Amino acid sequence: MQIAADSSQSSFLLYNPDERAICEVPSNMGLYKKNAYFLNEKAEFVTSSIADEKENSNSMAENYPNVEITPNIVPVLQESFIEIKKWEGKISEVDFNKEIFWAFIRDNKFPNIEEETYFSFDDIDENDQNLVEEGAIFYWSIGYKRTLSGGREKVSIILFRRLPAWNIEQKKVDDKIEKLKKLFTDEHPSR
Amino acid sequence: MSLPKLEVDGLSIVFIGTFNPSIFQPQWLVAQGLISQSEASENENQIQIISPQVSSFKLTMGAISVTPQRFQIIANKSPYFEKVRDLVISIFGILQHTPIIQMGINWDRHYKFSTEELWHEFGHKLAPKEPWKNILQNPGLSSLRIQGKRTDDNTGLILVTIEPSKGYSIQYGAYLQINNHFDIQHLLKENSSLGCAPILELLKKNWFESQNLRDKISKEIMGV
Repeated sequence: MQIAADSSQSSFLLYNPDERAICEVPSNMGLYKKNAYFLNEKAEFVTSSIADEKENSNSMAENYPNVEITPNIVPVLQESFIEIKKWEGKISEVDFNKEIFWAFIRDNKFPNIEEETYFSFDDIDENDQNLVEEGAIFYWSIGYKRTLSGGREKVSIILFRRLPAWNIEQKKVDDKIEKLKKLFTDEHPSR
Repeated sequence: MSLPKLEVDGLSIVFIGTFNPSIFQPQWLVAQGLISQSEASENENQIQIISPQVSSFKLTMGAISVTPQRFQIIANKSPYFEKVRDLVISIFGILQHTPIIQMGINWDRHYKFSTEELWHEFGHKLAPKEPWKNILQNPGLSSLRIQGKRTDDNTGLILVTIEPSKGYSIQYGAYLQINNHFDIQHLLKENSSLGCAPILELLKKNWFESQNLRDKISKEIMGV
């Protein structure tokens, strides 16, 4: 990885020698060699004339009047995927013995139309199999994968939505409350 | 006229605000339950830099780069677009006090024309060469940017960029970028304690509209 100043010296480009630049760093950001660490052993700085970090202490309004919002530097991420169709699904029932689950799916382009279908656990990436539970949200895409050599292969990909840890904890609390509520209302209807 | 083929379909979400880059690292995402440990481990050698001034690493779903003023995540595989959106919403749902004043929902597409003639024809259609013929030798379209007003109630703009395709081995390729730009500086000036809630709300509300806009512009400009 390298860092190079651009011609105007107003920013620095961070890039890999074998890729295009990955990130633009304004020069008033105070990028210090001692603070950065690289996993790539070949890492080097090709410039060290970096402005004082204190320059970065202006108010936000002064800092961002005309900031370019587009990712002007796009990394090359090699393979790509051309989508034919995509659905969002919500699991309605899971049979862990048979390793299948049923779900309501909606086409992204026609969100008002809902269909029910089932999937095998084998259709899912191993890393996502622990996310299979009733109510889980997933995205199912069918399309062409464009390989590095430019070839195409038709693939189906199912990816599960992952909730933040605090959200999962909250969900557990909510489930517990729901169970307790049920217990009181079902077994003790007079209360 | 034979239509070009879509070869690469990409998305990037860019935030402008005040960030602490060193927070952003795969293990922090694992600790928050936003990615799995196996995803972090699989991409361990994809960490490019983590420092107080800049953080940059790749995950299976995309590449994240953060500086004190900018957060961006880039994905070039459409199955991951929703995962990327969810990840961004989850990250800043946790870092809810992060002040974010601008957002770009950007769509990046690369198309392939079947012949050189069709590729030139496309460039000539968007940028006629007549005015340049007596000034430049063999003029060609290098980059074209057209900006338009938003048609909704939000502040910001729509910026469309067309260039010859670079970075991917696409012969006779054209690159189309649609920058759906939102600016809420006025809101945060009035109430700086809003953090990133207004921008996240805009991202959620405009997700489908932004895709519709992408499809409409792609259809009008590229024909597909």
